Amino acid sequence: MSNRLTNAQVALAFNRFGLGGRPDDVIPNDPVEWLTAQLTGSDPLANAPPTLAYGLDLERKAIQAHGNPKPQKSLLSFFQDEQETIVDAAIATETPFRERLVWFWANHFAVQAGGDTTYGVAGAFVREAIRPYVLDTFENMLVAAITHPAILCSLNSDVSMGPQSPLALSRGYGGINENLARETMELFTIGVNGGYTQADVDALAYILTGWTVGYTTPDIGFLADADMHQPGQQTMLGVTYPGTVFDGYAALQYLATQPSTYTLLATKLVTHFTSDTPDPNDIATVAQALTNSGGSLPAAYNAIIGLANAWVPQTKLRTPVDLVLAAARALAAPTGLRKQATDALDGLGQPLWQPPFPNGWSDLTEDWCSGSQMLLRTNFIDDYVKPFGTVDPNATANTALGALISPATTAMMARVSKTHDKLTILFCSPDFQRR
Amino acid sequence: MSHIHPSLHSGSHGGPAITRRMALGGIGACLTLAHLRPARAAVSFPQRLVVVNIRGGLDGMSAVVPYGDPNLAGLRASLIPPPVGQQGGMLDMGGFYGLNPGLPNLYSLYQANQMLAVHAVGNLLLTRSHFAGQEAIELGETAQTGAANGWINRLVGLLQTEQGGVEAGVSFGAGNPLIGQGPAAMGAWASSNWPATNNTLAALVETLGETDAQIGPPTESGFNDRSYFKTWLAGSTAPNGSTALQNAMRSAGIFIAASGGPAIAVIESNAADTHTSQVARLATLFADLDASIALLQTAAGPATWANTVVLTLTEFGRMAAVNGCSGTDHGTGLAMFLAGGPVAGGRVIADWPGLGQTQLYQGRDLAPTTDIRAVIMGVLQGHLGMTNSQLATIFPNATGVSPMSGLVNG
Repeated sequence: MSNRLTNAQVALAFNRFGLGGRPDDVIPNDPVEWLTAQLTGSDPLANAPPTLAYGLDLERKAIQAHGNPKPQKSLLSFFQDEQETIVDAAIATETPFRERLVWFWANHFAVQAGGDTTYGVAGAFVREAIRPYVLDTFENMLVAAITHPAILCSLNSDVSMGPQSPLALSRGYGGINENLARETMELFTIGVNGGYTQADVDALAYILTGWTVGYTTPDIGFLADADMHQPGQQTMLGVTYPGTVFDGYAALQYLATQPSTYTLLATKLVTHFTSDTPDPNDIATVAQALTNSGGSLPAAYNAIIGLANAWVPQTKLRTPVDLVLAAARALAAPTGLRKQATDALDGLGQPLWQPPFPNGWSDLTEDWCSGSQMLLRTNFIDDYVKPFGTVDPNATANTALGALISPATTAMMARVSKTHDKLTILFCSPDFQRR
Repeated sequence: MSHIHPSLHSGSHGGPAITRRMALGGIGACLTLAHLRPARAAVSFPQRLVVVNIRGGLDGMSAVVPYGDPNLAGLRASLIPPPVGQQGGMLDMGGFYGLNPGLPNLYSLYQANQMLAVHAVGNLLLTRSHFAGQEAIELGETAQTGAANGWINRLVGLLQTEQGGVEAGVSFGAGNPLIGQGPAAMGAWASSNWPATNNTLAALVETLGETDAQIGPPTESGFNDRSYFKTWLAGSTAPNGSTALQNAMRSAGIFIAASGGPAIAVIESNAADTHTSQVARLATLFADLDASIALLQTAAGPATWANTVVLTLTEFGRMAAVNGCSGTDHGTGLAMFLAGGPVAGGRVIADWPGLGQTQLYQGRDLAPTTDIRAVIMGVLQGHLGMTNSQLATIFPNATGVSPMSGLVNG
């Protein structure tokens, strides 16, 4: 068993599907087996503490202390701890393909953390609504995500109320907020060309009224509150729902299993794992795998692994998240530098769990290929590798790129003498900027 | 500035040279970009354009309140600022419209005839989707009609340049906004949390970057431009508590005034998606925008301001009625601001559609009566002197859309 990535397909699997090599990796003989072995068993971080209830309690205290939208310091530091915790996990993980999928789905269901009602639950969202479902069906993940306080609050459904609901009638005011309904159709399931109208958006918004968040025991967490629910039948995309506060489950099941949803998911996955210009046949293959399996996510992953285009090297530009994680992994970064890695995501323009819009972060080359981004990447790497003056840069190059290193990068590393400069050139090289 | 090393090129694999958007528009233009573009290409004319893209869907009827419309109060009484003349009240714009009281600097410009608003404008698709709407106004086209890059990029590609300075167009921020993507070289500036890499090492990184057709040009641009940006910003510090938008706008003001600076600046704000607590959220956004425009004006100085037009964009306006959360959901008709020395200001331009139930778009939104491209084309023609044929290059599918005349003083 060699500790050198001499097999280009293994190196590709580590970088494309994984999060980049580590010096302590056990190098597999068969990259496909290495990938598929990660698609079994449970995720040890699924449903791990700190719990949702803990985060909600912190939020309640912050809200009581001084109201929206300024987060209390302890809540903000809890959020920062949560960010560093998941960055830690991604740097250390021995199942980096599975971890990449966790990050992929957490970006699909993008929580926009930014205040009292999201800072406390963004980390719990990944542990409770994403990790347990990465190897499940899309339908189950969709329900878990939409019923999680992080998404309900991020997309304002927690305060959406039926105008004829008992609570609205007793208060004398109240109405819907369509944000979650629209983005559930446009971003999470059937897509902007999925054939829905404004009336369908309104219908789903009414169906979801009452899905809110409780902050005190015993009603802490997701609540289906009939008091806030709009009474009466609703018709969404031609299907009529009776009018109970639980209709949302059937509506989500319907959306999760539409052909347009499978196409949207396949497009996004194939773009992530093959190229910015995915082959329509590849998308059709993965969509078919979802259709045939009733939306099984592992079926989609296995279909992707089977695509020839998934094994064409270096087609994707690393996002800032990819770049920072891969550099930290190649250097086996110690604890202190993991905090720097988390901060670097802010500095490179991809602050964790804080995308500007609910469509999450782009993974397209053009969206990151600017002069400012390339300069920031160089400045970051130059600074980040400073404590690693005693590593063997050639060994690090092997860990990071193996057979994927180009002669140009090897030659440029040989032109400088300092370890610091060699590492900077390695991590700034186009070879490493890509995956 | 060329760093072509045959020994390095011979061994490079370079990665893919085709992106989604480039593939749509034609591949040939981008492959040789690194070697075609002049490393230094300063503009040789004094006009400046600053585009502020307020992403998220700014509520135009809170920015420029049509208080004279008899149906407004019935739709959104809780969102209307106090009346004109009252403490904290709207700032009157001609007896029918009132500027939001959170925009006092813009109002001063209005009173000086250097600011105007265009109201009831529609994005190209009349979509209520952030992402389809943003793509439409940044591409300047519907995705289906074939344009493959941002309209700012096409504009920059048409500008006459001369030696010395940065690219004719510069975007602000760590990413690469769609509106500036395309074959023409664009500069980009962002503040850095890290020390600058020394020139020797930077040159090696830049040389190695050239082995990749996509990474090479922005890497070269980043290292070429950084010395200009650093020189221009020397001695200027951000006021305490500056927001990202304020920092970008102040920097943009400095850059457009500098010798060798850009003619076009592109800046983004992301705070306009006010589904809840809209009055409070917009107060923050307007304070930020208003301060930012003042900072840009001050940083640019009077001579440059006299040649500068600031144009705001947003992907849609918001629903006419307040929603259940003291906010507004996605809508249609939007409002834009033009500010700057050349602006023929002191007015609101609108073919006002009315807010009666039958006048609302789909019974729900302010109806759009002006194509957003007509406004942009009016600025490009009136301010930058773009000919009809150049406008057709920038907006290739805008047949039937006429540039709005008289937006800037001739």
